[in-house]
Amino acid sequence: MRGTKQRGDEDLAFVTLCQEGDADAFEHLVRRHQKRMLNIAYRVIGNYDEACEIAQDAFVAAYKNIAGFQRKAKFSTWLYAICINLARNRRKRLTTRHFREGRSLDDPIATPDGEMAVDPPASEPTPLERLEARDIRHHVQGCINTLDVDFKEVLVLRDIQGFSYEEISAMLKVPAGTVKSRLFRAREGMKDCLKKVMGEL
Amino acid sequence: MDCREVQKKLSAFADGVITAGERKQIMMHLKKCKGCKRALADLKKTIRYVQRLEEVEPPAWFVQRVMARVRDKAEKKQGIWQRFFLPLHIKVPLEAIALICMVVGAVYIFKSMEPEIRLAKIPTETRESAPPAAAVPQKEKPADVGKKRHAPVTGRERSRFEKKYQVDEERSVKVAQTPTAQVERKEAAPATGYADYDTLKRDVGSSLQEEQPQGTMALKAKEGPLVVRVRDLTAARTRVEEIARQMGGQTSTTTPGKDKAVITIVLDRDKVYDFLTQLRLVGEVRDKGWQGEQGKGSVTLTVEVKKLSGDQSD
Repeated sequence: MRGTKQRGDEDLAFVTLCQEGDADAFEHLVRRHQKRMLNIAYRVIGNYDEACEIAQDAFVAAYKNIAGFQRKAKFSTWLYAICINLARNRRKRLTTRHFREGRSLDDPIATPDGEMAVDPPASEPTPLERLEARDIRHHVQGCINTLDVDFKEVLVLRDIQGFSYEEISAMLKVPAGTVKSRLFRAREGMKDCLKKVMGEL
Repeated sequence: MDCREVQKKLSAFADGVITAGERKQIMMHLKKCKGCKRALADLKKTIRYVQRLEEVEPPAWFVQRVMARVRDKAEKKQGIWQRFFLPLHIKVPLEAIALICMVVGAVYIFKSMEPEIRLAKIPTETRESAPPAAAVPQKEKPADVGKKRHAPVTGRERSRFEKKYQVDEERSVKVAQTPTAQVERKEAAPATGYADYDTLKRDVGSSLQEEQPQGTMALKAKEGPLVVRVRDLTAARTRVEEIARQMGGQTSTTTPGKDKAVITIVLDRDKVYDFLTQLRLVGEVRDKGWQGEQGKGSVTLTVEVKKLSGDQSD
């Protein structure tokens, strides 16, 4: 779990300024949240350039709608929810395209650095020790990419970003029970995928 | 709890978001079930792999580009709104100062122009006060009754009018309307129409900078002395005399009682307004009216300086 600091209070002063039309105050918020926004988008969408676009769009959308931000949730929760939604929409468009083009199980899996061939359980499993850390990460991202968007989101928010079940529930606007069950299925999916691509955990 | 149930709950178990009872049951199960134990180990490994994913850094241009888009949007938004609601976006300190400067400037300009306006009104007195004096020789013309000012006047007479005012002002003597002027005017009247009068009114108005027939001099019809109530009778009396003299007037003072002084002042008519203004600085002026002969270059004012009763001040 990465650190989830309670940033809401620090953000609120800047949010108030933004709501009064101070664009400069928004820059503080961008600086503060850019990395997390980008990482959320990146892990959901699986592509760095796309993720940059999504994070930018999310910030711009947040600024546009900042007047409508009520202090019910933390600002960061609200902000990341925008990012998640944009990423989801982008992902949907991409998936639709993939469906139209038709896919096969043997199709390569999209990874940040291009595409990765699906590596079916090999007859002679490669020992984990011999895989370089970088390759493992590629496999992990590749597996995340194969997950359904609902599962992907909870996995990214929980296991990568370290949000609590409650925060995730607020961001995705689903009950905490749903977060729990989605997370279970996401992790199961990851486990199976990793076993498949790496032969052994 | 069978293996399926346990494995379903392992994810929540690993996160510690599970009831104490369930937790106990799962622990018990894990002790005897190797399959589930292995499933938990795999799950934990999977989670660790995901957690170990490195974070990516945002590009250096990220903030700049976002802010450029944000500012662009903000400007567009404001562009529309500000065009309509410009005054609402007041930068208070700056615009408040500007507003104060404008008000002060306007008051100053008004103050500095006021005397000219007043001077321009003085001749009106002559013209207006004249007809009653000459009313007797007038032939009874229905159109003239009750609106002497509206009597049609020819261009010839207009110039005569203007000339007369100049003379009036220069010499400051009793001129008003001579009978000749009256006769001439009445003779000229029937020959021309009302349109002519309008022209006159306009012309006179612009040339003499006055249009208002009833000038600010509301005193002309009033009778009786000007009463000034003061605390210090002697000082006030001296002051009133001083003011009058400064304005080129002649004064004579009598003191009929110990609480009262009567000052008779002969003053140029165009100084009267100033005099009254100054007088108000001396004490509480009750302008019941003033005594003076209408239509003259100089007027006689009677000023009664009264000590405020019940006041013990010196």
